[in-house]
Amino acid sequence: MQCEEFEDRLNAVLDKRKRPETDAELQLHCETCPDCRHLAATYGRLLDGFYALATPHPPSDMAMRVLADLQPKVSPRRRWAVAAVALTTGALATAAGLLFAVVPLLRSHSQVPSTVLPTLATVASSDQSGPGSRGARIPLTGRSLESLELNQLPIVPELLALRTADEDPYAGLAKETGQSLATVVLYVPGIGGSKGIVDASGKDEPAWAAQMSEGLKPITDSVAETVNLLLRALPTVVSDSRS
Amino acid sequence: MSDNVRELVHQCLRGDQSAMVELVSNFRGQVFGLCYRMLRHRQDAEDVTQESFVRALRSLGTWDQQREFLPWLLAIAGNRCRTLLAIRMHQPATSSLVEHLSDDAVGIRDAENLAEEVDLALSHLRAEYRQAFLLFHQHEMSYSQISTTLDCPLGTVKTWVHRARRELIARLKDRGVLQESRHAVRRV
Ligand SMILES: [Zn+2]
Repeated sequence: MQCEEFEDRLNAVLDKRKRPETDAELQLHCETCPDCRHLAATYGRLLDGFYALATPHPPSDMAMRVLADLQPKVSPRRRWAVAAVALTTGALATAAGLLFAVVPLLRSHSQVPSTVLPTLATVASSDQSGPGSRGARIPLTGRSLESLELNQLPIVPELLALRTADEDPYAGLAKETGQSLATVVLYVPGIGGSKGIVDASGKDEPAWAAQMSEGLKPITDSVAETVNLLLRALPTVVSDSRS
Repeated sequence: MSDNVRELVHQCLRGDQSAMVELVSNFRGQVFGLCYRMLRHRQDAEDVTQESFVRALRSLGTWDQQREFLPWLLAIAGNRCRTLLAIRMHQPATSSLVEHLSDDAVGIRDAENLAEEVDLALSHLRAEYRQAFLLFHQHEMSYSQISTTLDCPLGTVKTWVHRARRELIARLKDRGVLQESRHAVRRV
């Protein structure tokens, strides 16, 4: 082998992921040629140096960062709507579950006057100024609801963070805020009455918002009825949880 | 590619977030390793790794399942790295842009500094040479896989890796890093 061929041969050996000294032909040439022996040594040093390079560990939260990036970027208004759909679905499940659980109680408490607590219909009909005014302007006449601090309830977009595949968002919010489940179900938008969560009468309201509001009506009415039943059936339980 | 990865990809395509987490966790080391060595900057490498996974997951449907997954994934990461390197070239050099060695390290001979010198020399290679070199030596990919990843002929990839080695050695010699072995050889 000639010196001119040496480096190509050397690269071919490295391409097979072998060390230069393992190749008999290279070895033979090196025995008589100091320059090529030096060249082989430099290649060896290069790879020694390269394989000694330490690569830091990737961040352990990389998967979470990626998932966060994958979440659709939506406008705050749209997030209200998306949250409402998710929450209403959760509310239905929660309310239905509670209803089954309290059917016996419902029977035994059938004598409780309905005036003890405001019905959801009362709350809903008083809320005429749209989602922006949620909570504070609702006239609360029921004794057990007077102590509620509605402005402490998180706004809807934040609820999305509580929502997981396995967790009911209403239950999550109740846990998060320390409020009773019934309170959360009552005051979270999406079950707020006939106007729904989006005021479709606004001039600038997009078509999808109006559709969303319309589409939610049957669900909200259904949940409203369910929660009213629960509140009438369990006044003492709600009072106890507030005291 | 193992059926496990293929199944994982199918789950991701169905929107299974736990599968996405597993996919990222399985490959984050390789993607980050390439990005870090290409960019020589931890924060940039993290950002590009993250961006690469987001792009990959968003375009999982375009991945040809007859091909291997990792070369496809590293192709996305490599492209992002090269884009960032190209942007850097048009920016005024700043000391914080790249975490580099000081240039007064001539004559350093111990193993740790040899590694640092190799790292520095890598940063002076053309991006294509550097990526091909890293895919071959760091990720131990075959020339065929690298050819797929870089979407160029196998012969070109081979040439790039060989040129990368030659240029690295030339730079290390210029820096005096390989002086010791030269003397050692000459003393023989
Ligand atoms: Zn020779």
